Amino acid sequence: MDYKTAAQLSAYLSKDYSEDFFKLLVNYQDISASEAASRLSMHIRTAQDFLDGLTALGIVNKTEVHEKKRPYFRYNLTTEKIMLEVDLNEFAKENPGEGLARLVREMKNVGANFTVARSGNYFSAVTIWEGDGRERKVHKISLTTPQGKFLFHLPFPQARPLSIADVMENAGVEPDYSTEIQDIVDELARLGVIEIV
Amino acid sequence: MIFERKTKDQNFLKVVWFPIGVILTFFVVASTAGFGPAFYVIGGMFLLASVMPFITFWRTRNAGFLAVAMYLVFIGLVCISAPPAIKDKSEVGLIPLFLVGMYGLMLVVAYLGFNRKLKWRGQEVFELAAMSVEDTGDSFTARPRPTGQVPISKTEMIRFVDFITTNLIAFAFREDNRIVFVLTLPGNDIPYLLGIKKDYLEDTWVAIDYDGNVSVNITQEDYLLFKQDLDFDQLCQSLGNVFIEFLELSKNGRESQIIDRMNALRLNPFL
Repeated sequence: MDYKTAAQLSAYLSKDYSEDFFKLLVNYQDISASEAASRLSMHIRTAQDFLDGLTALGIVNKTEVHEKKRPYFRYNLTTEKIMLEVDLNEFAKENPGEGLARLVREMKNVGANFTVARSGNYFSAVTIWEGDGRERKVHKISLTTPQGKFLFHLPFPQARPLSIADVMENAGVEPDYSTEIQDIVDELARLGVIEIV
Repeated sequence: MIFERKTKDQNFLKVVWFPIGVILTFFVVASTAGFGPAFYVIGGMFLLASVMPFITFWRTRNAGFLAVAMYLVFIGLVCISAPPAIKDKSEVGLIPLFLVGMYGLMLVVAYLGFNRKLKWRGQEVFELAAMSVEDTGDSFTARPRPTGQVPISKTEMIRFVDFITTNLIAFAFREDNRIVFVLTLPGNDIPYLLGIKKDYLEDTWVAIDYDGNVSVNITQEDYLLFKQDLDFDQLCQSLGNVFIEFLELSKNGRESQIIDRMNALRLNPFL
């Protein structure tokens, strides 16, 4: 299951009334939105949305019926088990080692504020101002200790750029942290704080 | 030593505001209330002013400031003792003794002043740091920079801190894992001496931790002291190197060479 589907499914499962809804769906052959709503004392629109959501996820089947009145939908379960499995490895950066060769340094006239940690040998946060005028917002990023050490050793603007691996070595950051270092490098490059040469 | 100055001259008013203020006060009070009250007022001013060098002596252990404080006290005593003696010559009292003390201490203070022993040496450190930097470019950034490592024991560090503080090279902040040396220019030292300013984060500093890691921070205000936009990365590195060199000299017991290097710059002893 991909992460987006899992997130949608989780949102439906976390509703207060979801357990009662599934009890109905398991024990009824099929049920309409108005029947479920009256049974659970909720608004028909809420029941309709819930059932349509489950239909979209393929957990419930929706059938149009005609009983001498205007057509409506009846819903029945298509599965008795819901398996929710997410492979978080899909987020892992591909070939993290390749990105370590990128040359980096601080961008000129960036205006970001680096907060020095108590021990004084690394940064604890970076504050960046985004936008202009009334739209100007403060974006503060709290850093992990390896990220703070890395940024403390980041070459200044106009200094000779160094590879991410070299900066990590200078900062005494273990290679195990390379993915989180690259994450902050990519984010700060996007925000215009770091220049990738 | 012939070298090209890279820092701007400091404002002369920083040094002369007090004597000018005293003279103006004297004449204003003398013209309105007479010479007697004028002497009492400026005598009070000198006695009040003597508190600051006492505090400087107490915070830095620089004995020169004790001489300055005593000099100001003697001037104050002369001024306060003068009005009765002007009216009646027989009321001279201790004035001759005060005058001897005042003139004696004036010679001591003048000697110390001309030999740069009463001057915060931040600008001289900046000059030494800038000496090796030739590249220019708009490259300022408001963040500290690690500049190297120097092996140091705790005893050597304590000795170095005492030397740097006593000789007015920098104001030292002691932290759990490091010492932060704040570079101070003449006139900017008062908040630190009075203990008003306990945070150095917005000042120029060089920090040395007990593992020997050296890091440097230069503020924009101090960066503007330089006549040119020197390459900021090189300037920070050079400032770190200056302190590493000072530390090495101190470890080898050659502190006098540090003073000689700064005196050789021949900057104005009072600015």
